[in-house]
Amino acid sequence: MTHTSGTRRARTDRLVSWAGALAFAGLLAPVLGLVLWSLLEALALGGFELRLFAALVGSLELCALALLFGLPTGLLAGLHVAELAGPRVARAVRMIADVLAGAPPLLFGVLVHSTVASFTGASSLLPSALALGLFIAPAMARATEELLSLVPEGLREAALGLGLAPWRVVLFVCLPSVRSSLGGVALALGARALGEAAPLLFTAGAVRGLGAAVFGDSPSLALGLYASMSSADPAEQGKAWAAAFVLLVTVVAASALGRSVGERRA
Amino acid sequence: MSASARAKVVVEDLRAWFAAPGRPASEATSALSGVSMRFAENEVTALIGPSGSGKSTLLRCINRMHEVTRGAGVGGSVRLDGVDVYGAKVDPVEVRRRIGLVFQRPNPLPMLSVRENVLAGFRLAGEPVPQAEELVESMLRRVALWDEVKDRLDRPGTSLSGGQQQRLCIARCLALRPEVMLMDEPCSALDPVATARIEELLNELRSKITIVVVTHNLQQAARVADSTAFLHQGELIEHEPTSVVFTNPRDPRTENYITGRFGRTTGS
Amino acid sequence: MASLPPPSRKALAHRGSASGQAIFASLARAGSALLALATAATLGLLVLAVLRGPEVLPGLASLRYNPGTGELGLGGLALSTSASLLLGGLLATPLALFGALWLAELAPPSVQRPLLALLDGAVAVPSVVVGLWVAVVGGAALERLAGPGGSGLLSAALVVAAMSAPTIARVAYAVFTAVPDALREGAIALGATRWEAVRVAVLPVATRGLVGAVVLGLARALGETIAISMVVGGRPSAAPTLRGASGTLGSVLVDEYLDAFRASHLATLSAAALVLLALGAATHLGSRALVRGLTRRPA
Repeated sequence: MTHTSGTRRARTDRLVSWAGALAFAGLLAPVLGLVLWSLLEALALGGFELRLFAALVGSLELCALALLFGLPTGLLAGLHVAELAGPRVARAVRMIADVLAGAPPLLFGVLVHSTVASFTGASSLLPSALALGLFIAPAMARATEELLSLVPEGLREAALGLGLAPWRVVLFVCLPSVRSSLGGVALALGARALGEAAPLLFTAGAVRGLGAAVFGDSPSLALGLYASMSSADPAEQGKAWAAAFVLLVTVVAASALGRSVGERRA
Repeated sequence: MSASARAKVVVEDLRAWFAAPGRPASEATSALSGVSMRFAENEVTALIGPSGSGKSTLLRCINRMHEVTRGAGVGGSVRLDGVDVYGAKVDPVEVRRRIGLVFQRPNPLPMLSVRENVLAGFRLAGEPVPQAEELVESMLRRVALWDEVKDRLDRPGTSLSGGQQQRLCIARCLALRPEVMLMDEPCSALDPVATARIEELLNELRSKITIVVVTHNLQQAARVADSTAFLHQGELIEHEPTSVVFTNPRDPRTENYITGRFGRTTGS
Repeated sequence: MASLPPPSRKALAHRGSASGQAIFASLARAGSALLALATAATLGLLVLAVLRGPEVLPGLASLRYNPGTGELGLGGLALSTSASLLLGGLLATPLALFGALWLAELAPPSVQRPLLALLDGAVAVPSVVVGLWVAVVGGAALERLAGPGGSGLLSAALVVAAMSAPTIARVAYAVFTAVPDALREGAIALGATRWEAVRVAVLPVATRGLVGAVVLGLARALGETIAISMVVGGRPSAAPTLRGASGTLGSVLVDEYLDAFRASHLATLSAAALVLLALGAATHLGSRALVRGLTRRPA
């Protein structure tokens, strides 16, 4: 290796490093810019008001209820595939979960709208939560299955060798050993559900174009944002930006929290 | 096996195989091809043989752990006190409680403390443990671990050294009061000092409980076992009192193995 | 020992555990059944709707879509969907893959964790927010670029890029970190620089997984309906041009499904949904096959 080629190679290495850092910055810049931009726009247009926080609370409620539907369903389906089903059934359920995970989330709203929504009366909370639950469940099922497949065989055998029933081994030994990762997945899915507005268009009643009413009737940040932005009224647009800011901060914080929870060693 | 001893476990025409996932059993790899033998009550039986001879598989068939592996299958019978553990009405979970298994690598349950590891068999089964503290102490004393860990019962079981972990796993197994304890190369991951402790323990336990131990270490078999069985390519070659196997084997394959002439992997 | 009560000895028959196992198994099966039911119901709903307006089927491939005049061809929408995916993918892929490569292989270890957390945050950015931003900010910029009123496809592509880039980068990061260290060390021990080690040892192994990452990212953008509907003003009418406003298969669902009352219109929209469902399933299954075995640690 000659001296010149050595420095040229070192220079290439540095160049690639800087270019890579730039690319990564380009990847994150829109997000950070978005946070700042929405904050400034909202402040300029006077979008922050108390009702916004009612909408945040409504969103969180909705999200919690959706997790309540989606997480157990997904967890159980994942357990079924990982621990109980034969290879053929496992492949079928895996495929079903993939079909659902690949479906436009809007379709869950359509499904709930045209099936159960007629039974739940005036309340839009329950059908909305059901639709978002359907959005959460397939991803949870796949994550559960993959995490369980990472549980070392020795741990499983240790528990079985102690004369524990297989279901106890799964519930009290295998699942606890991946609980922090599962918690991280759950938080990340909650964050996704929090910002998902498309299914709500169908479950939260006719809201489009009624920006002002949304915050009162069916408080959801994501939906409120969608309704407000189409208004030409600057005050409404200010609300949209304020909703965007609060939504962004909540969602990014929740998923960052999900990462730290998921990485904590059990 | 001494002539007077009662047979605690009787294995008859035991066949075991592994099939690749999704493949029919007819294409399976055979691990045991028709083994029949008796394990005397309250004695130590050693299973020796080259790698792949089926020792561990035989051990795992006795308490129905073999079938836990995907694609694994069993034929023939294993009787515990005359009851076929593969019988239709038998619960494999109950079999594993009465026939304990100690693994090659110490595997205390992570996330559980030393104390909870001893009680794991009860706690995880949701059963109350009367006099739990006494049970923990007596079991840890039994495996000569008490003095070493009595001040850190609440530390994670995985924080102990390898030899201590293995003794903890034996304590965990004994706490369930099994009638038979199976040990799959229990010392192969341990250093000589820790190995000596386990062997002492086996000497104390003999005459209280039926023990079957798989080992690659022939000296160990000679030291701890009342009888020794030699397996080769999934078949039982011979099963005699230990002194006979090591001094006057009937089969040339046994002789070749114990004199180190073939297929002998050094005890690690 | 002597002070302890003797253990209870029962026969080898089942005790309580059998019923516990049965309850566990039926609950787990119910979870899977629920997923299957949801899939079946969704498919059934859409197929039924298509069957109620079968007269639209022959003209479905036509490029013209205008519910007002009864022109119900999905071809144009499919074209604009593909075009926006392609354009958005072209925008997002180099940035996302290179950024992920940097984070996984070249970045100083001290910044890796916080930046990964930020990347996770970026993955979760709601599509409504992206839609708002592209509609208001990006739209204005594009308008200046492409002329008044002519930013539909570009805006849609921008949404696709913004929605897919973080996901592509996140999956690509997982793919990179799954490449065994031994490969890198082998190259570095031979005197390679870090970048050279990545080029000769990591990239060849990771290629398949990186393709999977791109497919998975675009799959997410494919199902994206609301953000594109936000940026594409007005009703789509004809085949897309770079300058003309254009809807996508997803955005027309948001715009029209609730208001559609004619059977033929509903049938067309349901057919669009079915196409999206099929594409989404295909991309998900495909990308899983590509990524599988790479991000999973050996058991």
